[in-house]
Amino acid sequence: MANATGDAVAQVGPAARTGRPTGIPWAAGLLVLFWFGGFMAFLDSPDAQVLGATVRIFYIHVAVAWLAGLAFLVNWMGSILYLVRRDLRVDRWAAVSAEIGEVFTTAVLVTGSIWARVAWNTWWTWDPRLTTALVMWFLYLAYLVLREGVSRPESRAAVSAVVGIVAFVDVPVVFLSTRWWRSIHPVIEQNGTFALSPHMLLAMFAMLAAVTAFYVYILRLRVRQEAARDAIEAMRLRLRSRGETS
Amino acid sequence: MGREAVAVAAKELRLAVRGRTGAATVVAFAALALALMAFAFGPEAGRARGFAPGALWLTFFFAGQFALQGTFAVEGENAALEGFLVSGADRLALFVGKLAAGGMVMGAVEAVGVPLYLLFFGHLGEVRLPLLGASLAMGDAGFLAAGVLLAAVTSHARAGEAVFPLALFPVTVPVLLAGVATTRAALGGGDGGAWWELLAGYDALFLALSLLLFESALEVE
Repeated sequence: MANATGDAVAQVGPAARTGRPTGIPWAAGLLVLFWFGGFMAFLDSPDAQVLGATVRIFYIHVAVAWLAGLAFLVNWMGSILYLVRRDLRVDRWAAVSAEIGEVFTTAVLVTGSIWARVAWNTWWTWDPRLTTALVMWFLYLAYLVLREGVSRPESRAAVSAVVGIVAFVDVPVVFLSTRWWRSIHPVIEQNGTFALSPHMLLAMFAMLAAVTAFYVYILRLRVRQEAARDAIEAMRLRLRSRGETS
Repeated sequence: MGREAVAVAAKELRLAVRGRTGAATVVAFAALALALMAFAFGPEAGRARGFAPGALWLTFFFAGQFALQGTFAVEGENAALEGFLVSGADRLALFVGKLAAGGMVMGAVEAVGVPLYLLFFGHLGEVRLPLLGASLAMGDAGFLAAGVLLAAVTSHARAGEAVFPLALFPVTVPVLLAGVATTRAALGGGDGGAWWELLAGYDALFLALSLLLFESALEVE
């Protein structure tokens, strides 16, 4: 018994023992980043000419959109890597990243809808950017639902890798949709230059840095949690088989 | 690979003709769906004509999903898939065979569905058959390339039949959009423009992706 527990803890790492997964420095760092980003976005940056103060939702909207794209990119790379290396730890990273991406895609759609009500006078319109983003939300929903349905870890990893690679086809399309088709959605970056004032640009990058740090933090936390769950499952199986033999 | 793919396709077609949820059921389902769409949109054919190609394509989408969803469950019975995998046959033959058979079933659905559609929706304008054929064939190719892969993938899941449409329809949204636009063009509404290119690009991309990923999708329990 003591042995089994020791093995499992060794797999999860010392964090399982202390109960403090990533510690105070992360929390402090995130606090500083979000404080700075929030200050730049809500107090320092100027009102927009037409949209006034409502433009400030832009800093959140762009940041969560960037994060959704990043999270799905990590899922895509993890999916390819899994099929090449067949390492279940890679699958864990990919799955957790898709989960975070889906949550942040929801945030993109919600913040976008709120902003659209102000800027376009409608909660929703079938613009190419909105359409492709909604399809992306559905694609990764299917990815997550499929994972729930497959119990053998190797099968689950392989089939979700296939779906992860297929689903990612839409992600660059979401990004490029405003350039490819006539879209009412604004494009803020063109050929490496941004259509923003320096203070707005600084606020945007501050928020991007903050959410990216948040992503890294939550990704590591969830991966550790999933590893602990798997270790417990393995422990339970071992105990059960021991109970049957004695 | 060629002979093996033909053997798989022949087996699939035998199942489609003799099986319980075979091609006849799928065709009957499509006819019923078209009638339901006509009821739902009301008798004013003139008003319906603008979006009627959408009704046609939705019918083919649901019929296609219906045709594909059991295609790998059958392989699980009597360990047929394991038998195939240890037989030494090229694994891609399974994909190509199912794709070809699926194309023929969809062809049967459309051979019945299009005349019924023209009847139910009271289409009076010209019908450009070569264009209509191209629109349907290109749409089917992309739909089935993605569909066979996703049917294989979701067959591993509990309640896979519920997950399959959840994965299939978002992936095939471009086929629906481009299929409707090109079919509308074939029925006398413009030329379809860049939708043809989108359809061709989707077909090429998903045929390549499916060929690349199909073996990974066959992971057996």
